[in-house]
Amino acid sequence: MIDFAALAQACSLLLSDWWPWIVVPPGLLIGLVFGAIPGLSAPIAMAVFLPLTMGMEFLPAIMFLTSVFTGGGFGGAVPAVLMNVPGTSAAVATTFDGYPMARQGHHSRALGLALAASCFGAALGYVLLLLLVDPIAEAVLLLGPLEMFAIAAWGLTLIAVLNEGSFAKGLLAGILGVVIGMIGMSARGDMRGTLGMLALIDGIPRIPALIGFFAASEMFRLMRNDFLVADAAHRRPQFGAILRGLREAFAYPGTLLRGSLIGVGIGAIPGVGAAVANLLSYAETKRRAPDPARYGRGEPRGVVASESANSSSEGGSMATLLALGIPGGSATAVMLGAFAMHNVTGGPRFITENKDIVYAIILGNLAQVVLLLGIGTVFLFGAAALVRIPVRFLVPSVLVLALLGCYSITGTMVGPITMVACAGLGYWMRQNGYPVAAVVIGLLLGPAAEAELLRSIQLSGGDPAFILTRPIAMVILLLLAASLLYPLLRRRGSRAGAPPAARRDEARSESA
Amino acid sequence: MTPPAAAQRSRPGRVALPLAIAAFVAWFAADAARASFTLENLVMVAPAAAIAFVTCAILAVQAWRGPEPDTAEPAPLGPVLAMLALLAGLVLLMEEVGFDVGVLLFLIAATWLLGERRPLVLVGYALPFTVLAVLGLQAILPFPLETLVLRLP
Repeated sequence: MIDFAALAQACSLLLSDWWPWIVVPPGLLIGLVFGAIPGLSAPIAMAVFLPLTMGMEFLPAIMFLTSVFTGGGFGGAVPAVLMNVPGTSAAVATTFDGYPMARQGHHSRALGLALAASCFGAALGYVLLLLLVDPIAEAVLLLGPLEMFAIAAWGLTLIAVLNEGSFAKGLLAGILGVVIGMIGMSARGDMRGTLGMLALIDGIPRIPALIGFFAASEMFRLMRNDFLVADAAHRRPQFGAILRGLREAFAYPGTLLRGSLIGVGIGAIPGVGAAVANLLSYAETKRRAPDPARYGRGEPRGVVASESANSSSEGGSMATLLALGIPGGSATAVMLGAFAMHNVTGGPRFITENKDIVYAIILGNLAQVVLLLGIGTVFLFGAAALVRIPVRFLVPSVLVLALLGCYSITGTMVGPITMVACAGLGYWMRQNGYPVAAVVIGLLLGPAAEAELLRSIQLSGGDPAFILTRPIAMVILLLLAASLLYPLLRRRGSRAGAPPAARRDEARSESA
Repeated sequence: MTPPAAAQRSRPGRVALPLAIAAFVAWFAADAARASFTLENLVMVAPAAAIAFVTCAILAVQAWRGPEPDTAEPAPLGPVLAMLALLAGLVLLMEEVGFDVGVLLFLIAATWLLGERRPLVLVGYALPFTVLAVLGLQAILPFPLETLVLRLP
C-alpha cells in the first residue's frame, strides 16, 4: 500500500520546482492536437518531442511526456466524434455513438461527455495506480498466453453485439477482419497471403486499414450532404452543450466505473491496452443495457463507456512501465526511451529505491487530468467548429490528412495504398449493410488471439487439461460466458415476469 | 410475388459481396494450408474459413431472394467512384510528382467534384492547405518526404 513518507517527499519534489508544471500545459495541448489529427497520435507526438526532454531534469521530462500522452489519449475522441475517424485503435468504440450524436447536432454534448469520461477514467486509473502499483505489477506477471487469449476472445465477442439487423452480416464482417489480420508472417513463422511481397511480411498495417474502413468510407457517404450536421441551427459550437455533456457523464456512474476498471485492468497487460479496453467496455455496457437497440444510434452511455476505458488504461500501462520496466504500447515505449536517456531503468528496483519519484509521477499525472479538464474544454470549443465547414472542403481535407497520416505511420506507400483499398471495400460493405466496425475488431484482435492461442498450444503440448492449471484464465473464460449469457437470462427473466398480455404482444412482434 | 425491378437489377450486386468475401477467404485458407498443413498454422484459419463459408452461403441465398429493408440505401455511385479514382491517382502519383503537387492537384480536383466551381476559392483553399500539411509533415517526420517545390530550410 502507500508509503506515506515517500508520498510526502513526492509532494515536496513537485512543489519545490516550477519546471514540472511549466511543461504540462504545452504538453497537453500538443497531445490534444496530435490526437485530434487523423493519422497522427500521442506516440508520434512523444517521439517527435522526445529530443526536447534531453535538456530537462528527469521529473519534468517525464511530466512533459505523460502530459502529451494524457492529451493525446483524449484528443483521439475529437475526430472520432466529429468525423467518424478513430485516429487510434483506442477510439474505435467512441465512433459507434459519438458520431451519430454529432450527425444529430449533439456534437458539443458528445465531446463534453467524452472529455468528462476521459478525465474520470484517467483520474481513477492513477488513483488505483497510486494505491496498488506493486500488486498490479505482481498480477501482470501471473498472466500467460492463455489468459491473453481469453481477453482477446472476449473482445472478439463484440462482433456479436455490433450487428445491426443481420447477425450473419456482422459475423462475416468480423471473420473477414480476422482473416485480413492474419495476412503476413504468423507467430510460428509461416507466410500466409503475402503474394510473395516483402511489404506484407508484417501484415496489413492496422491503423491505415482502420482509417480506410471507418473514415474514408464514411467520407464517401458524406459526399451526398452539404454539411456534417444538416440543421444549420445546430452547427454553432455550443459552450453550454459542452458543459452539459461534462455534467451528464456523471449521470451514468455505473458505466463510468465499469469502463474505468476495465481500462485499468486491461491497460496493465502489455500489448493489449486501450485498443481492447474501449471495445470490451462498450460491449459490456451494451450487453447490460435494458435498451441495447439504442446503442450505435447516438447513445451517450456508449461514448462514456469507451472513453472512460481508453483513458483509464493509461494508468494501467504506466503501472507495468514503472513497476516492471515493460512498455505496454508505443507511447510507454517512447517513455522508456526517455527513462534510458536519463539513465533510469524502470522495474521493481526502481520502485523500491525511488518510490518518491514514482509517486511524484503519479501525482503529477493526477494533476494533469484536472488541467486537461480546463484546457480540453476550451480546445473542444474550437474543435466543435469543424462541423461548420462545408462538406466540399471537409471531405478532401480529411482524406488528405488521413492519407498523409497513413504515410507517416508506415513510412512507405503501403500505408496510403492500404487506406484507399480499405476505403473502397468499406464503402461497398456499408452500402450492403455490413458493419465495418466488426471488420476492424476482427482485424485488431484476431491476430492477437491467434498468436496467444498458438503459444498456449505450444506451452501445453496440445493438452486441453492445461486450462485446469490456469485459474485466472478459467475465471476470465467463466466471466466471458456469464457476460454472453446475461442478456439471454435477463430477457427470459423479464418475459417470465411480464404480464401475459405483454408476453403475447412481444411474441407477436417477434414473429412479425 | 415478383420482386421490384430495382431489386431484380441489383440482385447480382448484392450477391457479389458475400461471394467475393468467400473467394478471398478460400484463397487465403488455401495459401495458408500450402505454407504449412499443421494444427499450429491452421488453428484459427480453418475455423474462420469454415464459419465464413457457411455465413457466405446463407447471405448469398438471402441476397438472391430479395433485398433486406434495413440495407436499402440508394446512393449515386458515380461521384464515389470518381473520388475513389482521384484518391487512387494521388497514391499512384504522389511519389512521382511529389507530395506537394499531388496533394494540391487532388484537393482542387476533389473540391471541384464536390461542387465548388469558383477558381479563386478552389486555389485559395487548396494552396494554403497543401503548404501547411506538407511542411507540417516534413517538420514532424524523421524520414524524407518526396516533394517538387516545398522543402523546409
